[in-house]
Amino acid sequence: MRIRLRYFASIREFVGAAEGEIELPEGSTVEGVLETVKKYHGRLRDMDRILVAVNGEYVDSGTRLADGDLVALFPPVSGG
Amino acid sequence: MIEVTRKDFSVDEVLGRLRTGRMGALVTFVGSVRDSSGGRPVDRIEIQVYEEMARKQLEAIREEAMERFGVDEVAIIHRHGSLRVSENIMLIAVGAGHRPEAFDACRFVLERIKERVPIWKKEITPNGEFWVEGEHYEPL
Repeated sequence: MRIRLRYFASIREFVGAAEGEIELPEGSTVEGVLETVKKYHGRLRDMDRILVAVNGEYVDSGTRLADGDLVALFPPVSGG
Repeated sequence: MIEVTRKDFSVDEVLGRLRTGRMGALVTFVGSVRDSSGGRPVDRIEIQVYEEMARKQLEAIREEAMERFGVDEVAIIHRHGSLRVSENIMLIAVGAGHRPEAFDACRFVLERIKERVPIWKKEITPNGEFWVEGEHYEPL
């Protein structure tokens, strides 16, 4: 299945892009996205904490994904 | 009222829209760009936002604050883009019958924003550019 990706803040700079796409086996979870992205972008392996949102909602790493889901990866927030 | 915008705001204009005769207390919080951070000088900041998600989160925080504290109205405006020292970053305005719930709701909204709304600051300093991430600083 195809997963759409969006990156923010330092992760966007480490990856060198604001968005991307990956192909994962059916039944994959958020953990599968993190493993795949970290494989290609080593700087992400050194990060203490990566927050994940699927279709605009916070999720944990065990969440199962569906074809076409939009997964956003970002560091802890600093608004306000 | 929720806004995520590059444009500046006027506190008076927002209060004018918010205010009703039921309100005996209007509490505002304005976040402003400070000229230093952790002892280092800051020239300006850049704010990045995951806009669709930030709007949803801000709307949920507004509704939670109104329900939890029984205040009449909450407005939140958060800016993004490049901001100079002393520029407005954010406005929270709460209108309520009385001051205790207005102050409590304003503080609640502020802490929730800092904890979970997908917005990030980057400090542009004479010594380089630094993302502010939670309580940590990530040098580029």
